[in-house]
Amino acid sequence: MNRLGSGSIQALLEKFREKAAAVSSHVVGLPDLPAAFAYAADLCARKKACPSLISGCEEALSNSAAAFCPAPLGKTIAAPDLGEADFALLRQTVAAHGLTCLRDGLRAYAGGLDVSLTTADMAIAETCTCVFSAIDEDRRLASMLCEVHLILLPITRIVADYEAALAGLEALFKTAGPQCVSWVSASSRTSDIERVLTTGVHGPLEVHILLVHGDAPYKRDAPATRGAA
Amino acid sequence: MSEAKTLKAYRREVRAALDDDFLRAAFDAFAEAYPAGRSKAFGGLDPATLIDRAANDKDASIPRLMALYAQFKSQAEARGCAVHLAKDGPEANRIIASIAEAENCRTVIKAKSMTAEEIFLNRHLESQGLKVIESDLGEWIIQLRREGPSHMVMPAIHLSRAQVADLFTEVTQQRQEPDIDRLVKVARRELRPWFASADMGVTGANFALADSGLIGLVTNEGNARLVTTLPRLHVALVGLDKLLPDLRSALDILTVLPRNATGQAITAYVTWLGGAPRGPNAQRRHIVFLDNGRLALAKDPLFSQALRCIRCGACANVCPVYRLVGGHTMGHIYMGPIGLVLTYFFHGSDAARQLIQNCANCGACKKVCAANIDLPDLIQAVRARLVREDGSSAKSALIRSVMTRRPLFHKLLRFASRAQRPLTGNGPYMRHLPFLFFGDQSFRSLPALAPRAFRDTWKKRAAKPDDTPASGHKVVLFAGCAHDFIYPDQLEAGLKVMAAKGASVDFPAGQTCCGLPLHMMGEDVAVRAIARQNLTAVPLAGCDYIVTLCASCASFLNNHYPGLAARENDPALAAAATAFAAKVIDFSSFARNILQLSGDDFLPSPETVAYHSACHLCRGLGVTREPRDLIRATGANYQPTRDEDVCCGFGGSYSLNFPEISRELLTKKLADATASGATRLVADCPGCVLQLRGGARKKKPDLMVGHIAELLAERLKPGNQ
Repeated sequence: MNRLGSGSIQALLEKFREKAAAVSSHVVGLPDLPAAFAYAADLCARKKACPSLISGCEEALSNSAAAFCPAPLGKTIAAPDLGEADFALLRQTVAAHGLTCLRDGLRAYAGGLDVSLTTADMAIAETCTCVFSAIDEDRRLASMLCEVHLILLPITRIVADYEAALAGLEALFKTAGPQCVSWVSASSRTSDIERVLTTGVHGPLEVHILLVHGDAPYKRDAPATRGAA
Repeated sequence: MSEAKTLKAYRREVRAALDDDFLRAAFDAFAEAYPAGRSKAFGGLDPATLIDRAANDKDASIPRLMALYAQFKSQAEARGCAVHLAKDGPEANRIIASIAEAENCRTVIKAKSMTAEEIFLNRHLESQGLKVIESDLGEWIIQLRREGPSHMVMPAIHLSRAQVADLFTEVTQQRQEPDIDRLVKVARRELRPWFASADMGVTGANFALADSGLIGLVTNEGNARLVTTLPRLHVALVGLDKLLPDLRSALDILTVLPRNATGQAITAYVTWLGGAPRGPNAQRRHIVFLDNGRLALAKDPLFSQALRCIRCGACANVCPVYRLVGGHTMGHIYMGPIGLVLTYFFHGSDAARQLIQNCANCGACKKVCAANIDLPDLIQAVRARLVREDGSSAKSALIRSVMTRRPLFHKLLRFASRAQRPLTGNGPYMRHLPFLFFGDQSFRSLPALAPRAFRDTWKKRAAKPDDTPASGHKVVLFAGCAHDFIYPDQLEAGLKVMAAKGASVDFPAGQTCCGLPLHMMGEDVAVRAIARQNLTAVPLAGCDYIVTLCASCASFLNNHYPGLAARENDPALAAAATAFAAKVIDFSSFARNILQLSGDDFLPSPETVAYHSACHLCRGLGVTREPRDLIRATGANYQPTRDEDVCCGFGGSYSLNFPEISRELLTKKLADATASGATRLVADCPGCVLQLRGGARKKKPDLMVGHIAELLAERLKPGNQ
């Protein structure tokens, strides 16, 4: 899916990085999928012990909210997009860190996931927007419930702007049946108290975009073919 | 939420808002920060072009909302959504409650939706025994406080962190510190269980795309994503005005919306949904479209433009009145300038009657609107409708009756000029105001009427138009009431400047008030009668320019006369109005661009001069460069001031209706001017001079305030006079 707009790939990447920096998203260039998994494992391992520590566990909460705290089973990393072989590789990569790898059933983790790794179908450099098309609940929830959202983005999927994205988006929009197309352009944020920008109000506190070369290894399975993790 | 039924009651609400120091500081800080954020977000893009494109897309959709609805419905149903159409709020409430009942729902989690606020959805669902939780942080806070939103995008902007901490202490039964980062985390944790357990999620939508049957939600917090995913049922309540033909139009709007709303290139999330998942985690999705007057509005030749609104909230962000009193006072449900208009259509005359008066007609909203809505004009037009519905007040009827009879009007003013002597002591100001009528006007000195009106001295002067050099520009002077009867000296200064450059000036005595004050009062018929009088009185033959020293007159003559005349079914009058308007020019533009006054024409000046950019000049006519060039040409040190183009608070009858707001705007204006180090403040409008000079006399006696023509006339080189 190469829909490069005007300008070279270098110019697009430069624009993408500039726009990401403006909204405090991290952009990391990585050589391949194993490197992305290693990045995810390292980041998740360095995260503090309580799964939701950065998102409110330490605060004084009402009894009902405190009771909703996810069971302290250790840290979680969700990757519902990955095919069987890739998911196995991820599990192998994170095994040494004692992380729980999840590929479905994420609804049970509504209290919070530590890290999610999802794959963007397209990205728009002008607004640093990653586009995900998925009606499957787990694929959608992964990017909502986690505290750190890692986005795998093959650089060939970056287009310049809305104009360049239009044809690809329309193709998604016009595909028959249920549709959910999510644009993620930053971490979850609010300025509702005294206009002070605060991240992580309902969704991820951090977004990391992992730029990888190539395209073929990141094709996802259809949901029906996926097995349990 | 204002529910005042009388102006007196409404003014009590206004005063209470003005006394809220935190609210004042919060809105002030936001108003200061907003323009820079917006401008940064548009970056290298041209806002006007992008806004035109978005407005054109909306204009193309508005006349065919029902066709778009039919197309949307068929597409969305094919994807597995249920689509409903409600004619009004009660019907939409019934539909949503019956969906909840049919699906055995007990708890509802909501994302922010102004449309749900519009129909009081929460109140209805709660009356049906449902538990409703708002999940947008600001909305949750105000729900817990049982308040309505004070801003369309930032509903809890009126509250401090300490107030939120106290509220959360109550909710969690645990002590909470006023630390914003921690309070946000508490909200995250407190709300998360509700997302997971709610039976039904309710959202609004920013777009409904007819060709694909998808809705689009533009959000930052991510709560709408959870609301549309975790509950087994999702209901979107969507105004019919959100229908668009396709994604391309939505992207045009999306290019403008976040930039204009919050100064973001794009929000953190945009979610496009159509149909609902099947299988083990199956969901059901209903889309309820709301008419509630939108289809009727779409057919109105003037007011249909209100449906272009994309709810960015920018009109409130720049409104000087909103900045002082906030959205609870300047709104019913919808707030700010667009709120004044929408309240009339969505919530009725009773809700709108007092609110609609709270606009100084400064035009800041129109300039920033993401959809090119002529908000000041629509606000005046709502006033006119209310006058038609209610009849004129006794005061308005008297004013109308006098002002439409020019000889009577002018005779009364001459009489008042003599009769005022006990109040003025023959000085230039009212020394004693009859307290009964003007007690709350004492924040500034009010000028006396001039002993002799300009029109009366004009009759006697020797120089007639024929005496001036044939090579000069032929000018008709349109005086305006304030200059004619209060400040004839400012007109004399203007004449001196024009004469120095060889312009010949005529003053047709049949001219009268431009009509703006009656327009502001909604006295539509009287305004048209006055326009006809002026169009008849001013001969266009042999006239190159119609010059006025009053920015408000210039803007009204230029922007409104063609439209007023066009409604008279008199083609000759309409043609005359168009030709008339084309000749109208404000004094500064005439002096700079036509007379080409430059540094060579003036003596050097050591003065530091600040400029007040009159609303009707800078926004009404788009004139910004000329007066500043002229000040510099006089050799004065022109000192830019903060908020130079923000209203001074006069606004004609506005300052009489809302003296407490007028006073605040004036105080700030004078403080900004003196903070710049200026010793003199000039403006292009006698109304602004009246306000600023009167205020300076009371509070800043060292600041000299005058019309720009006076500055120019004073500094002219002797050879030029």
